[in-house]
Amino acid sequence: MRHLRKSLLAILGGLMVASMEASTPDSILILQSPINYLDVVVVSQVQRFQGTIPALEITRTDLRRYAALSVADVLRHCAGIQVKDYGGIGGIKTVNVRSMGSQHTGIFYDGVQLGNAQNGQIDLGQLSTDNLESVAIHQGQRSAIFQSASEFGHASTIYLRTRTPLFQGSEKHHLRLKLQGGSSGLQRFSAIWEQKLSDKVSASFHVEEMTASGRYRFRYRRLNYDGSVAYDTTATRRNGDVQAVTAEANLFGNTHNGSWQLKGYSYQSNRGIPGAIVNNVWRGGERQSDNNLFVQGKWLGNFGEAYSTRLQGKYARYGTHYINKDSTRYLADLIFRQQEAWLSTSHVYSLLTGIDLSASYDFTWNHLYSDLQEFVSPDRFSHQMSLASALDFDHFKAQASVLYALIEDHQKEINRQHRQLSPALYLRWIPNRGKRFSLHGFAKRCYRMPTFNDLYYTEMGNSQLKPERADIFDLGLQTERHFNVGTISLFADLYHNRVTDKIVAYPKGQQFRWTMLNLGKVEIDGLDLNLGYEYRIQDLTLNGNIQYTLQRAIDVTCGSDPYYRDQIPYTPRHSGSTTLSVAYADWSVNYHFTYVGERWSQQENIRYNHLQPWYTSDVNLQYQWRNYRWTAEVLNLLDQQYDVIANYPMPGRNYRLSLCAEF
Amino acid sequence: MRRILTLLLPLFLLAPSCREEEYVDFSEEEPIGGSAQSDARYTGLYLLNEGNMGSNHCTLDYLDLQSSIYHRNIYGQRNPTVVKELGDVGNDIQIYGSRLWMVINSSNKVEVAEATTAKRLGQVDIPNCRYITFHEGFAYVSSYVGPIDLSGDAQRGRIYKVDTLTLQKVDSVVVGYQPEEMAIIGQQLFVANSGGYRKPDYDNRLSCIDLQHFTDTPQQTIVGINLHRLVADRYGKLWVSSRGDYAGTPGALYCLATDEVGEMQIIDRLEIPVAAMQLTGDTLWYLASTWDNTSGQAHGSYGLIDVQSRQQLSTQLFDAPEISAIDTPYGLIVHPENRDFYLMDARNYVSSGQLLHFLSDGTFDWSVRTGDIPSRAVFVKGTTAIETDTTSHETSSLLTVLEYRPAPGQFVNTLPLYEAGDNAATMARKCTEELNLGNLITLGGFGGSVTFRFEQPVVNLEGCDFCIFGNGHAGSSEPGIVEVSADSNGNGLPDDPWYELAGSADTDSIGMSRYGYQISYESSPMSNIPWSDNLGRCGYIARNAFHTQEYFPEWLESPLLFEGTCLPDNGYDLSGNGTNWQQQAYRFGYVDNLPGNDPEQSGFDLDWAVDPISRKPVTLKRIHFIRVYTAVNQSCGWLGETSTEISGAKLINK
Repeated sequence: MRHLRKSLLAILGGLMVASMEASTPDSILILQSPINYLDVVVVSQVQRFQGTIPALEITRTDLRRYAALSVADVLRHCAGIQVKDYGGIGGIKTVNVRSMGSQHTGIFYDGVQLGNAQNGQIDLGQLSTDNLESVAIHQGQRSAIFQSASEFGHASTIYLRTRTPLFQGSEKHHLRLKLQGGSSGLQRFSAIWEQKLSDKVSASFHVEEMTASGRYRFRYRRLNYDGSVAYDTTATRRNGDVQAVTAEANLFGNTHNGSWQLKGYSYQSNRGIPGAIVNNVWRGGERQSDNNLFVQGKWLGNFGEAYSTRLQGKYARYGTHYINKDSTRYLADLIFRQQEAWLSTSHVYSLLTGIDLSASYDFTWNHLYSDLQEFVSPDRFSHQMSLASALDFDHFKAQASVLYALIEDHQKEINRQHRQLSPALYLRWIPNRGKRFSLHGFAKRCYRMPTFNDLYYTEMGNSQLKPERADIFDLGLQTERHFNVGTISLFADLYHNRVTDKIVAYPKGQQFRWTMLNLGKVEIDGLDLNLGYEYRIQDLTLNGNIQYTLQRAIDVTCGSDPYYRDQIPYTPRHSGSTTLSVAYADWSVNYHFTYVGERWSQQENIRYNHLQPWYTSDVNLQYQWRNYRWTAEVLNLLDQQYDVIANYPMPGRNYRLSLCAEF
Repeated sequence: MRRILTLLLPLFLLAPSCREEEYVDFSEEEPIGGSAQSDARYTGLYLLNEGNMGSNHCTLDYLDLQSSIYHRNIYGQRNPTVVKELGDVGNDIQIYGSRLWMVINSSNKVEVAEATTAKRLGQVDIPNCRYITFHEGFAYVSSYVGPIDLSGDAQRGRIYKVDTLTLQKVDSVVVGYQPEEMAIIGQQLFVANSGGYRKPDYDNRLSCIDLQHFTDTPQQTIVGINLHRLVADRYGKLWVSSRGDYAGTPGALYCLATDEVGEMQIIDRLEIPVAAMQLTGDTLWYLASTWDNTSGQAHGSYGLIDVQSRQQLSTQLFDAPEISAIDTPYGLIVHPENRDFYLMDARNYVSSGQLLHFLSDGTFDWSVRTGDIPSRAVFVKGTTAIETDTTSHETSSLLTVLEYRPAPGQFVNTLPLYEAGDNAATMARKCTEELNLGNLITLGGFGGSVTFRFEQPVVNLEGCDFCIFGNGHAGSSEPGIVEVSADSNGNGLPDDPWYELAGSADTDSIGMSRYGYQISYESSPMSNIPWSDNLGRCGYIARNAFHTQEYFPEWLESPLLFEGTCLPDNGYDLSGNGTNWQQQAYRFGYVDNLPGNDPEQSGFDLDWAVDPISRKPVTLKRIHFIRVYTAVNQSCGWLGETSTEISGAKLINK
């Protein structure tokens, strides 16, 4: 908490216009790190030493290194995270942290949760990284206790933070333009305008337009047992075209004792759903258009040395229009409209040096409308209250929190009430401040509510579903060593998760139609390793990062099930990634290798459900010339033909080229 | 830097596997437990697994009723060149003539294959196809895809008419919404329309199509909502199931008959939410399934209806505990002759299902793992020469003893061991076990026999076709004659004409064999067993000091009668004082005769077949049953009676 106060003081001192998120301890380093994006300084994925538990943070320099199109492309490289990818630019991409299922991950955009009460899936393929300052992944919850109640309830949280305008000297505005083109007919244009309105207020505007035909070649090949070719077919993925426009406006303000931020965000798209490739069917006819809008705002006030309060609010409308024109399937023309209102108040009080207390209350209203036959729109009212305290001494940090949630679902005459208690305890021990070595551990009970689709989706929904509960335990260490030949950092975590009443979704043809199952009990044991290396000498920077995840996630529902103790679907035992970067003067080369081991497409680990491992190599070359940055990328360099999800073929080798200009 | 590398390397050694070449789907074989269900009329059962939509997991399994082996997922291996295998969501499977027809719903095709091999012949592209039925050389396929209604956006269904020879669509006719099963009475095709896509405005009409002109007749019968299953009985009545709306309106079974003006009218309604049904003779077998909202589970109930009286038959057929343990009852098929039946359990829809077999009295027999969502099955008639994988192991040499009738002898009741309570069936089973393990069984004195079959019929090819092993060694030949029989009446029982495989005695010892020789043994507990023959001679099987058990087969009734060819004696005493008995081998053609297990010593050729009395050669293409009997009636001093022993048999691969 010491850092919180430090950062508050920094804001009070008017040193800079910091975002609200600067109140997290993590922001200290952000403030200290060179943020001038004209610099070609490459910073490694430093595991922060602040906070009770270290988090993995990918800052802008790292984002640039990945040349990522979307947030999903970034998370692919992080230990313990599996990205479910239906293939192509428009294919849905969701993340699953530590085998817990995507609904256990809270995704927060500038501190406000991105919700999807309908299916709980946030398509991270829609979120561009162009205007992001950082992406941070926290196991369990964020270390700082000064947070909204809704942040306490998840098994993992991902924070996306918008770039905050920073003006140096007499600068009044910034303009950043980016043009990108590539395989599958990709054309993308983005523009960011940052304007200093006064000493205390600045604004940023971000517009992005993307179109792609979504076409790519894929190949299915089988051999006979004598090694001769049984079949070898190459076809083109169709109906994967996308057209999307993102627009975002932000206002950042400082007051004499705090700060505020307002954001308006819109995402509109029209895309084809390419569908599963099965015998005799080579293209689908489903289409979807999205019309997502939200506004959110927050205000932070600091009163004296000891007390701070934050007020946040959000209103969102997510519209989905689903059309199936393929006459061989159920002809559909459906509208789904979600509304969400959220209000949060948080308070933190510093009792004594090193001892802080916080309390928060969040109210959320979710509503889903659909013109689906017999669909009765459900409402959900959630009240979440949290209490937390943090201890912060030189060698020892601790955080304890408890979240109480009261959730009421209303649908027709069905009213259901759920009460959940979510306690968490975080500990960290730093034996020697100077040595850069620490041990940490946490235990938490969390839950996730069944989504509206889980509960009420016509025919597939099951209103009897129980919330999914999870107990998560983690033990880890972090260390960093400096040598003459560079700095090595190691971040290792052992974890054990137990999920009961797990709700599992299986794709049923149409991408957002699922079969809902209370899969039962899952036991997850895992190891995440993250090894970083960095070396700088004059103009040369070497950077390497290796992530490895070992996961045993087994179904322990019932001894008589044929899949008892089998690895759960789409969860590899081994996965990992490597990033190697060399930057010299105005040039940099980045190489990314991703490995995902064998998986099973269904519960039973039998040969007919087996999916082969896949691994791809991506390379990009970047060149900075004055205000212009060129990036050329080759993705899936070795042209591997693979499916992440069975029957959803992924693109082979493909290319992208971009030019970014900053003024 | 080196230090870093040494740190990094082990990490990637942990990640063990690389991507491998992908091979065609492997067909798994699994012997099923339970008794052999040999049945010459139906040699196998094809089972179609639906597979979840989008999973491309529609698979075809084959149960070989002759070998009792379950072959999982055979389509890929039989048809390795078909891209993405059988397809997505199998909905129906039927055999018409020599062809196997599979309706693969989400692959928008009807797959046509050879019924005997499941090898692909072609496909008929029909969008969103559901069920198939046949009439006078044409297949009729129901499909959800028809023209859009004038009234709005609802899509009507269609029945396609397909030439079964050319696999061409020759015509189609528009019916109601989302048509399902069909049934034919005379020249009328009835169609159950479900309207499943129009929930809650389900269709409730039964369409009638005039097959002569292939047009929709105005005759439409309103039945219940969401119609599904449909069969016609031999009294001209229709049985149609309504699935209800899965909510307030429960499913029901309707019976319809023609009224005075020739229109179908409901004559009965049974409150049974039928999920699957099959008409066998006058008995309608059904599986009903109800969804229990509170337990979140499907509950199955089963029953029989007599279609003539329209009464439910009371039955204990479905009382086995294994039936109530079924998670998700999904399919049902009854053997049309034997009335043993199979139930299909779809479990949780997203993992392997299972097939359960019950005997005709309802006793649980065995169960086996299937593909995902086993739903429909069809028996295949005639000989199904299912090839195993081309790199496959040898032809199976497992045999099944059908009958074991030894004549009295010194090893009888010990090889194999008789135990109190044994009967003909248990002794036959013991013989099966011993022979498959390579152990000896005795046939006793003249005439004693064993009858067995291999898992597959023996086909007459060039040279020897099978081997039978004994314990013959130089000077100790105890010849047995081999007889063979084809299951020409198709009942699976060895009750058809027998032919003898004539050995060398016919040519080497002309006039010395006695054909049609008959012998009778009388029981005489714990003493010598007297015999008499049709030549008026008598004698006895003498007891000796080495074997002290009863010599008369304890499970058989006295007198024991045998008939066959009696070979000339082959035993003589070299010493002259009874201490050195030799049993000389015949040149070829007998069991337990020549030492060695090669075809030269122990092989038999179906070309040797003769009529046992007239000795005229007969031509046999294939046989199903093999019998071996002791072919000499002699006693060799202290060696005792000459009795054939056998230790196994095998088919010769060619």
